[in-house]
Amino acid sequence: MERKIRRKDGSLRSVSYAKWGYIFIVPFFLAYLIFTLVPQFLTVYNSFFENYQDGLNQVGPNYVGLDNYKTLFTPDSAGTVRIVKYVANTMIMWFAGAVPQFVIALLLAIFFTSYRLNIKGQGFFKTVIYMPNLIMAAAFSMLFFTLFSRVGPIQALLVKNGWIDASFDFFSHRITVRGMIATMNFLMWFGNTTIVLMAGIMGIDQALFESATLDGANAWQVFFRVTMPLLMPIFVYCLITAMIGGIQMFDVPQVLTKGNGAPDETTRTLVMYLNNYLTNKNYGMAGAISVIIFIVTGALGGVVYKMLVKQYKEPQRQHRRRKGDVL
Amino acid sequence: MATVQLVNIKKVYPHSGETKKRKKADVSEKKTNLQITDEGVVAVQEFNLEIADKEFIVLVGPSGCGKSTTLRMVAGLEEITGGELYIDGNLMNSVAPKDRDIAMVFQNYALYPHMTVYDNMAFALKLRHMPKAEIEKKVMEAAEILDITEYLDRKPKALSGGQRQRVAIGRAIVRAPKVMLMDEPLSNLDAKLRNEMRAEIIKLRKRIDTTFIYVTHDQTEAMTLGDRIVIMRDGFVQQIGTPQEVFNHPANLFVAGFIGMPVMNFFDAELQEEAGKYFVSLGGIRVELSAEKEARLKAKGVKSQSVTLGVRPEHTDVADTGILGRVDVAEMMGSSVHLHITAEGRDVIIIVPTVDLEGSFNMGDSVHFTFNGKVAHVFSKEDDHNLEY
Repeated sequence: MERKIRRKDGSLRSVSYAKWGYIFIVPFFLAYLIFTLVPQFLTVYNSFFENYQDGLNQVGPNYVGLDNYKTLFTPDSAGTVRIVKYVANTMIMWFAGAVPQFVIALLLAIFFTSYRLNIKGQGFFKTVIYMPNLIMAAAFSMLFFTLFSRVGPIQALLVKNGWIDASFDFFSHRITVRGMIATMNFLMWFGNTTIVLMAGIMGIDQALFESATLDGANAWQVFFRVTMPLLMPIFVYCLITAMIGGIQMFDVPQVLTKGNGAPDETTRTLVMYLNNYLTNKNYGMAGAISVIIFIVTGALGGVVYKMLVKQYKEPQRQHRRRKGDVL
Repeated sequence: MATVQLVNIKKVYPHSGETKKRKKADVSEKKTNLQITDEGVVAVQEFNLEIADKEFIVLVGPSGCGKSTTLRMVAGLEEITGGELYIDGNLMNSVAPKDRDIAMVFQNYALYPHMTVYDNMAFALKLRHMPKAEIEKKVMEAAEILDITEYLDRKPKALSGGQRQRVAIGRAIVRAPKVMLMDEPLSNLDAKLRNEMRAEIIKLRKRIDTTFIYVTHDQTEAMTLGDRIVIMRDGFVQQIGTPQEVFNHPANLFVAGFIGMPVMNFFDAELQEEAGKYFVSLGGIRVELSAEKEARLKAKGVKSQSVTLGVRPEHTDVADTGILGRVDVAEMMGSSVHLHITAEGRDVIIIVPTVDLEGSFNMGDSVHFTFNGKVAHVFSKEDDHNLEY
């Protein structure tokens, strides 16, 4: 946009506000370009090269086409396609944590925003449920590691009550280790989700709930027919961001299992697999895994978005056909 | 179609922790004159009203007077702190809103934005598991009454304010509720649309024939719509009566000033009782009150005293002699001139019909005015009540 400005001597000069706008946002774009966009392209580029360190020898970079991807999807000696196994591990652990995370967050959000209940001490409860999100994931893992170790208090308590045998090891069973990881993810994130969903519910006009109540809806009907449809954009946002976070799950299982995905690699996640290649400076394979993570994230995000949001989109075509109506 | 009875209804909003602290810290920060007790802020008290079947009741008053709170208590959206609410003779205090068989039209329409107009109107019927064909019949009927048939497949955001309000009304009438509640339904519309919708509501009322409770702060709406009007202030009912009653016989100074446009003129005057006759004197004139008024004052045993005299602008006449005033502004309204003058230390408005008007009024002109004893209202200086009642 250009504006004419009068100088002191009376002559006019033009000022381009748009130009200054662009200048102000240049630092962000430069940072984005250098630290995000270029590395992204380089990751994709690297995934087509053989490029790793073998002992003291550097192999490559040699262009190998899609060989890295082929390697990723080739079954190992036991007939397992590792990347598929790790995708499954990641999704199972994320799902086990996300279900209670969203159910409890929704319940709490509704509970705290209910004008009928008008809960007292909300500030305190909100702070408390948000608190675990502030704890470092590694510290959380160390805490669980200590709590559930063979000499930890939980083992001692359960053995004392005769609920488990003294030889039981929480870290040698798939279900308990995955359970711990899912629980930690749930504990760390349900507070955050609660706060975001609460903001979403508070953004809905209170009169709509009242109107539904007068129309004869019970609490469940108000929830499913009014609250959820109107909360859906925020809910989908939470779900997709949680899913992206879930696919990138790394620190909790890495610290809890000391990076080995015990037992029997059933808790090794995609990013732990990626990290393994990075530790060996295998940029080709790491790049290929990154690309696959990107594709999986994009595909799942797209599916969730389509499933949940599409049905609430307005049937605009019908409206546009009509002419002469007041809009 | 139902009777509604409110017996000694009371609403108290308990103090929150913060309010208590604030109350101690700064008592002077008070926005309304609502009574504050140890229990909390008393929003409504001593509310007694019997609404007949198919009656149109309007609750009117300034912001914060408790009219919406009362309506919401009838709806069940606010708990009733004290007193009893009966609908068709059944005690409703602890009955859930959904079981009261009432419909409500909200100020901001409260249409479900994710549903089409049709679904909005059918929502309550669907919840009652009514057969589809019947739902369609009822929705179409209501849509035709309100002239919104062509918008049925639209979402609310694709409608104008007036259309949205029609949908909101349509949603309420499809249910054929026992009582229809309306909370300032026209206040979000512009002046022209408001007038149109007001007329629509009058027509609608004749067609759907149910009990209405209507809340507004606009006295024109109250006067034109209500069979009876309840005027409220600071949580108390000031007067209940037909529009004509509250206009002609205001119970106190507040009602006199609230009902009528432009507002009633008030003067400091002397009420004199002489041999069974009553006179008001001010500004060098003495006017005898009408026989009807005199009889009422006599029955009440009213003695000579200083009073606040109220005379409506349309009952104040410019004359050759009378109370002297100075013209501040003359507003030409077409059929009349609203003359703003200063007289007896008060701002006074006189409505002068333009039919017989010769010449014009200029700022600073002196005018004399007088009034008839039939239309003079005398209010107590002590408690502002109308001395006649």
